[in-house]
Amino acid sequence: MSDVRIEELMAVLCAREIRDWERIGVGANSPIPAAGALLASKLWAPNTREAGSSGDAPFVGAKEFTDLLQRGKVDLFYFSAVQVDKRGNMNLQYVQTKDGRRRRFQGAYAAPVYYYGAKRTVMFRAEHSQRFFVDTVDYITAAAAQPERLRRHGTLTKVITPMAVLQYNPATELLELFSIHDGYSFNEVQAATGFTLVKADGFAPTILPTAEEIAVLRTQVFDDMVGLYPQFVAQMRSPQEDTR
Amino acid sequence: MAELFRTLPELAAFVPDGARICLPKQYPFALLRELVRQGRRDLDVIAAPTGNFGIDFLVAAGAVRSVEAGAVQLGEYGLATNFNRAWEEGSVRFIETSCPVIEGALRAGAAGVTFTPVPGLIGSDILVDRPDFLMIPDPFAPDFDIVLAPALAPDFALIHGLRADRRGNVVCSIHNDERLISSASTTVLATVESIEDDVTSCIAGDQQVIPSIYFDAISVVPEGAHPQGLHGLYEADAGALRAYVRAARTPESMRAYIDRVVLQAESEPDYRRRADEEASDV
Repeated sequence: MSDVRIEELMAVLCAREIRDWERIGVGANSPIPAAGALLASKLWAPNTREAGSSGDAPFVGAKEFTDLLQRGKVDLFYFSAVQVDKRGNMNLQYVQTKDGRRRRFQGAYAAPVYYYGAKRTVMFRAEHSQRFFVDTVDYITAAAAQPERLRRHGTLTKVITPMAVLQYNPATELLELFSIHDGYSFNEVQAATGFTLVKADGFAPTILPTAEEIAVLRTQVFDDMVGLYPQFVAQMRSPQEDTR
Repeated sequence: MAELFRTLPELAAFVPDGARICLPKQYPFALLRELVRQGRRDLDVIAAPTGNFGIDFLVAAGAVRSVEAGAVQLGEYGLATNFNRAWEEGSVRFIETSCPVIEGALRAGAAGVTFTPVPGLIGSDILVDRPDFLMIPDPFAPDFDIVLAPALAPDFALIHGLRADRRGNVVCSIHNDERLISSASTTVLATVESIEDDVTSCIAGDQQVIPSIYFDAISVVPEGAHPQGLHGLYEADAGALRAYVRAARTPESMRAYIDRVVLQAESEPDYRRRADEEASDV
């Protein structure tokens, strides 16, 4: 599977989080989990209901999906972030620069509510670095650990990157190393992570994408995505440079 | 009210300096340009629920005092450079919030109550930045705490619809929050592409009619969403958006762009000619 792009691997890993009949949501500007959701729907989760799916009636305004999620009816939502820390807290808003200034990013979006309302949240980021995985986030946009007296329907479950998958352990309230992708060692992953990695129960190498998963992704899934994500599809279909 | 239908300059004249305005993601862009031509200042802008080119443009033109938004960014065109620059200089205040908070607070405003409960936010630093949000024991679920956020009842909703009838019923796409902000705001101003005799008999599945009773004034402005697209009618003008993003690289080039393309334009058709001249293929 040496010709599998990192985005393709991450899309397959996003897809594997989806079970049939689940209600799921993918944020705007998120081609990797969008590809994953389509892939799962074409292979093992044909009855998945995805918010805003092209075959379905549209929601009225932004609030309908939020309402559904706030009531605990959404099984899985995908988020990216600027930083994630060892406690699973996520930051979409501000990073402290070395000269003590605050650098702003786009904003919190729906995370301060969705992180508590979705039954499972899967984070994805096309970068595995000490900039992303930090000991403590510079700003808590949303907290994974259970603040006392907060009613919530679920929390973070996995973080998917180009090197590995981390899993949130609700018992210890810490992120743990779930699997390492083909081609990387534990030491390499640890060196790119800003906190000490503990292996999760059942830690193993990442299960490689199957030939079927990659074939369906490259044909039916990317075909379906051309309308919404033309640049992403063009990039996935252009000659591959060796980035490793 | 003397007349519902007004010219674009008359529509903009409703909005005073310092007004609190609410904008959906589909901007009444011609109205925003007219506000800038009339030199409007110190606007407090609420985005429903996020902001992009329209808010970045108002900030670049110096018309904005504060922005309350779930996020401000330009989608596939990247960061909102003018907004970020103004925030870093301290000339524009950003009010931390989250999309569901804005939606809930507008619903509270629409219902005439003073706050909305928010299921979340506990443990987020947004609560530190928003001392006006309260955390209380949930009166109906005493084992839990709940956050209360103040209602949003903006002075003005500014929207752009596809068309209106002569009574002022306005057709919009259902994808954005025009209906919500129209029901929450004190005064509602709309621009529309055209006036038609009958707007209700030809509604597409993803369109809705907002009743005339909400609207205070309406102006007919063809291509009034440009350079954004208008759902179901025309695509975004990628060349014009690229020209804008290129101009945004420095404050000087942005000011010059606004001067050439917006301030010196005598009318919206004149604006469009100027925007087309600037439009970039790359």
